[in-house]
Amino acid sequence: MQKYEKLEKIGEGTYGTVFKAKNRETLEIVALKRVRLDDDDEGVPSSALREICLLKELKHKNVVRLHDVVHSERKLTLVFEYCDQDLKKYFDACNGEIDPDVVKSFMCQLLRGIAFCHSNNVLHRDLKPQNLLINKNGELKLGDFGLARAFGFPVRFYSAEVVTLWYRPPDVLFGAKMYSTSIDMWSAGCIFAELANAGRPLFPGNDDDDQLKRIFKLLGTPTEETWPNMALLPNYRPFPMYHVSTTWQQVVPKLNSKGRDLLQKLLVCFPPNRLSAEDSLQHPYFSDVNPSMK
Amino acid sequence: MDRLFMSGLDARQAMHMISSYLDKECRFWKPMVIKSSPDQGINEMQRDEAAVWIAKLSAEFTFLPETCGLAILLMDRVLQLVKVRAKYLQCVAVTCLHIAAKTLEEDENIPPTPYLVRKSCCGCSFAEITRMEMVILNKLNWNVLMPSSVDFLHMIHVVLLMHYPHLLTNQSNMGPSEHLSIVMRKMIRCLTCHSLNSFRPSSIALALISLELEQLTPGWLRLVLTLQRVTNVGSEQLMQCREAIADFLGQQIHTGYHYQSRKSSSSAPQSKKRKVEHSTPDSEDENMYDGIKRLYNEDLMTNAGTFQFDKAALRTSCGFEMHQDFDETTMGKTLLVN
Repeated sequence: MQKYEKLEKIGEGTYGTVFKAKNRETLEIVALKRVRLDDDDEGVPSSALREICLLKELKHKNVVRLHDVVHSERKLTLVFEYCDQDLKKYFDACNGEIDPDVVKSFMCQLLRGIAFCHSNNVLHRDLKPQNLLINKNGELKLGDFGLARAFGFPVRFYSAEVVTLWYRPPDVLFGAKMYSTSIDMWSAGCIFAELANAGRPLFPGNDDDDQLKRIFKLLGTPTEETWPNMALLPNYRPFPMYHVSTTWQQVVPKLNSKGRDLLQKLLVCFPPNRLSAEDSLQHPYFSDVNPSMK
Repeated sequence: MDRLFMSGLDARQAMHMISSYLDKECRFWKPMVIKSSPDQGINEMQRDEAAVWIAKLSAEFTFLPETCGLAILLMDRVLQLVKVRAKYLQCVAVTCLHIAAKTLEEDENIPPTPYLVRKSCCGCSFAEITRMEMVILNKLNWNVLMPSSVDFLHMIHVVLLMHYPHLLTNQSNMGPSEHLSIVMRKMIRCLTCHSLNSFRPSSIALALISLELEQLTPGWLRLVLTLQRVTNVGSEQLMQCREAIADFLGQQIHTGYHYQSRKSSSSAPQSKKRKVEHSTPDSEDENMYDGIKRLYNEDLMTNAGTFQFDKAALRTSCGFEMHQDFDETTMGKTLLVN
């Protein structure tokens, strides 16, 4: 690791510490993710292995670039492109205000990153502001693929222990194990609302039950008609019949009507009816996005 | 057509997925030839034994068939890149299975390394596996996510049923998942045959499907032509591969393993899951049923709809049938050796 000069610690990822560092030869600034390999451990952690082999394939401007993997004694170092901050930190610093054009630009880039992953048969499964990296040019990139996985056909049972609570879709909260790309689209919807409200999370639940209650209070409790076979999900339990009492205008006051329409199409309880990333990008909300950005 | 079997996959997505698999195959796949040399390298028979062993372990750990497919593919690539001495072959094989599992299985289904060491009886230590893992990952340059013939089989099967939704219902009474699990059983067997390693995974999958179609419908040739266009497999390649597979699978039949496997099931106490025979349609049902029962035991889910049952049965039945396959192949092998 003589090649890099460590500058400062940036944070903790799912399975390792992240440092800012400088390539001594090219002077390029990079982010280093350190993974300790203990002999009494599992070898390379599965999350690191998946992150590496998935990111080696995913080259897109809205997905964080993995430059290199360096293996040294008892240590594995992932070398990433450097981004100045993540969306969480951006929220903390924005003083409760984000320009509507920036909201649209971030959302558009988020959806492009997701669409690219999905078209390469990869589910991210942990989309949240902390995992969205932003560089000083205002480019947004999907990061931390520690929970991501490749998907194929036939559809398999996957883990229901995925996605941070606030961004977890209702089907997974009910223990669904047969999900697909729609799992990321719910998170995208939550992040969209949070962007529009300058960093105020949409469903900040305390536990699974509270999370579902918050969702159903906003969207109305689903019924057998709106969500067929909901009661068959592994951890299904009945909830009180909440009726929609808040308008979308109250939920996201600063978002225009097209944006509200897109948001509603992402936050759909019944997974097959959630809008896909590719279709979201065709939504009229984005019709005036600068083509040079596209 | 079993709508749920496809689970929202449309034709465009399926074609996209196949072409991305083909693209990766182009980049990573090389024909494999094992040179049987007098020095300490691995010979073809040892390679096949290791592949059979991977298939057996994969079934014991109830891994997905694609995990088994990837593990054998990884082992073959390692054998191509590095000259492995025979005494390390088991360590390479079990490590490839561990890497494949970490890549494709969910964390809750990945056995802890000490358990893997114990249960596999691989004869290598925990530290040796961890060291071997680093060696292999570096050698492969961390490119471990490659499509195996199992993945191609899944995709070609899906595309086939998308184009001809009534194929199975018209020609047999099988559901798609049932049919797939039967073909998958044969596929796992093919993975243990080194002579098929000169063919691309996509060719092996298409050749096997074409042999199945020939049994199923008189119009099979037309269907195969369509699938050839989808997979870019040339006719000559396909014919050669078909012949090799038919030879290999036929050879196993001629060794009379059916009879043997029935007789020897009492003398194989370690494989209690093999009590169900599968040569008649009736026992196929039993297989499925057994799969569901096992699913309950494994507590994968508590209350599922019929739809999810189907899926679960598919997954377990594939895993389950690999047990039988393994037994058959070893049986066939023992007979051949004898």
